[in-house]
Amino acid sequence: MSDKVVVLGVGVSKFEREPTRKMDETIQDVVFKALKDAGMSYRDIQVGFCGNVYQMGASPLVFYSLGKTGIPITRLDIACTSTSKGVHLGAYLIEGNAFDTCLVIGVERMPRGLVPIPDLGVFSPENEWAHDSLMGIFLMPGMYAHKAVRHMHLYGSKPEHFAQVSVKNHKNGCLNPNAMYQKTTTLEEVVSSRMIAYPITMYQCCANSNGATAVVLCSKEKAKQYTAKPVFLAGWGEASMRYTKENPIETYLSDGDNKLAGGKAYEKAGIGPEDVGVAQLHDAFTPGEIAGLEELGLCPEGKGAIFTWEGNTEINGKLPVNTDGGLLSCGHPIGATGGRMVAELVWQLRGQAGSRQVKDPKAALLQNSGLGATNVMIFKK
Amino acid sequence: MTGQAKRKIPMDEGRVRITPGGGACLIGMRCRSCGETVYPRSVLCPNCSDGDLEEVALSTRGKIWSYTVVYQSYGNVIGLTPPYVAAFVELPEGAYVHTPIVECDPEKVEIGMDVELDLIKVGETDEGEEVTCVFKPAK
Repeated sequence: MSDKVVVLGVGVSKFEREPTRKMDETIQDVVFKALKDAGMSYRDIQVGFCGNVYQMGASPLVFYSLGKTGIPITRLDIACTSTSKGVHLGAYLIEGNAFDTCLVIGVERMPRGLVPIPDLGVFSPENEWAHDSLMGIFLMPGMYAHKAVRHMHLYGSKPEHFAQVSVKNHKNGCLNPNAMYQKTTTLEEVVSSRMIAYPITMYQCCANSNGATAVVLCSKEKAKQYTAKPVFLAGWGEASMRYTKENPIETYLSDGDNKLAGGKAYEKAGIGPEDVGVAQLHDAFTPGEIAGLEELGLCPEGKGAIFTWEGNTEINGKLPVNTDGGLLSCGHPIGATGGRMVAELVWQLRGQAGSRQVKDPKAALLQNSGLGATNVMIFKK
Repeated sequence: MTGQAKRKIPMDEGRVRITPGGGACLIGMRCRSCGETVYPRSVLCPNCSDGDLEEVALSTRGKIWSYTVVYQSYGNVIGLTPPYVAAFVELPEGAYVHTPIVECDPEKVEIGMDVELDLIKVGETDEGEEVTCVFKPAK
C-alpha cells in the first residue's frame, strides 16, 4: 500500500438549510477543529486548497480569515468533487515530497432548489450540455433516473429498492449531530413523495445545504510527531467521463468512470473490494449509491439494489454505507461534501464514530462524484 | 413574400440537416481512423481522439435505450410541459441521441420502443422558422 500520506485531522460543521453563522466563522470552527484533531497549529500548514463552487473569489478570504502565512493557496471548482479533489492533489504533493502538510477546506453557501447550472449561454447551442438544457433534459436527477431505469430493465430491480437507500440513510442521519435532517422516513413516504424524474422522487434527491469541512494531510514521517495510530490515505484514483466502444454512455450517466477511478485506488492501496469494511458512496440521488456499490466491485454487477434492499448496507450489515446519513441526510454543500465523507471514514477507522460506529473496520472506501468526474479513496489504519 | 413556406433554420445547425423535401436528419460523425459513429458533432473522436472525422446523415428511426419522465425542470425552448419523456435513443449506426420524446404517453414509454425523428418549431425570425429535432413514437 501507499503509506506516505496520513489524514491527521478532520473537522466538520453542522450542515444546515439556513446558515446560522457567517462563512468565516464556520471556516474558523472547522479548521481549528481539524488542527486540534491533528495536534497542529495553523503555522504548521505548508499548502492549502479550498473546494468551493459558488463563491467565486472567496478562497483567499477563506485562508486570510485564518492567517497570513504566505502559503500557496488554490481554489478548486470541479463541482461536487471539489474537496475530494483537493485531498487528492494534497496527497500527490505529499507523496512527491513537495510539502509535508496540507490543509483542504471545503465550504459552500448554496442557493435553494434545483442546483443552478453553469452559464450555458456562453456555449453554442450545439454543445452537448447547452443543447440538453435548451431541450429541457439537462437534469442531474434525470441522469441518475436513466441509470435506475436501465437497472430495472436489465436486472429486475424495483423503484422501492432505490427508495430504500433514502430510508436507510435518513435512519443513519439521526445518529449524526452534524446532519441537516435528523429524522427517519418510511419507505411509503419516500415512494409517495413528489416525483422529480421517474423513478426518482423528492426524498431520493439530496437537498442543498450550507456547511464547511477541513482535512489536514501530513507526510508519514512528520505524522510520527503527532500520532502513534495514523489513518493512512492508502490509495486514491480519479477519472472523468470515458467513452469506450463497449460503453459509450454509462460513464456519462455516472459523472465519470467509477471503475477506472476505483481500479487505480485499489491498486495503489494494495487491497480489493472484499477488504472494505465501511464505505461512503455519492448518494446525491439514490441510484448513485447502488451504482457505486456495483461499479466499485463492492457487490456483483446487477445486485446493488437487492443487496441494499436486504439490509446489507445498514450500519450493522455486511458492508455499512453512508453511516453518517450521506448526502441524503446531510444535504449537499457542493464544495464541502468530499471533506465530510473523509471525516466520517477517519472517525470510523479510529473507532470515534459513537453510535454510528461500525465494528472494527480495517479499510474504508470513499467515492465522491460530480458533474464530469469521480474521485475514489481508500483509507487504512 | 406571403404564400411561400417559411424557410426552416435549425437552432443547432451542426446537428440537424434539413432535407430538400422539408424533412430532417441528424448529423453524426464517423471516425475515419477507428470507424466509430457518434452523435452529436465532435471535433475529436470520443473513442480514439483522432481528428479525422466525416459528417454522416444518421438514420431517422431508432429504439429507446433508457428513459425517464421529467416532472421538474428548468424549462425548455420547445414548449414541453412536465411531465414529459426524456430518453437516450439508440440508432442503427450505434450512436446514441439524448432527446425529448414528444407525443408520448409517460405511462406507455418503455425500453426498446421504436421512435422516429420529428422536426419541431422553436421560434420565428425574419429569416424563417427556427427548428430543432426531437423523437416521437414511430408510426
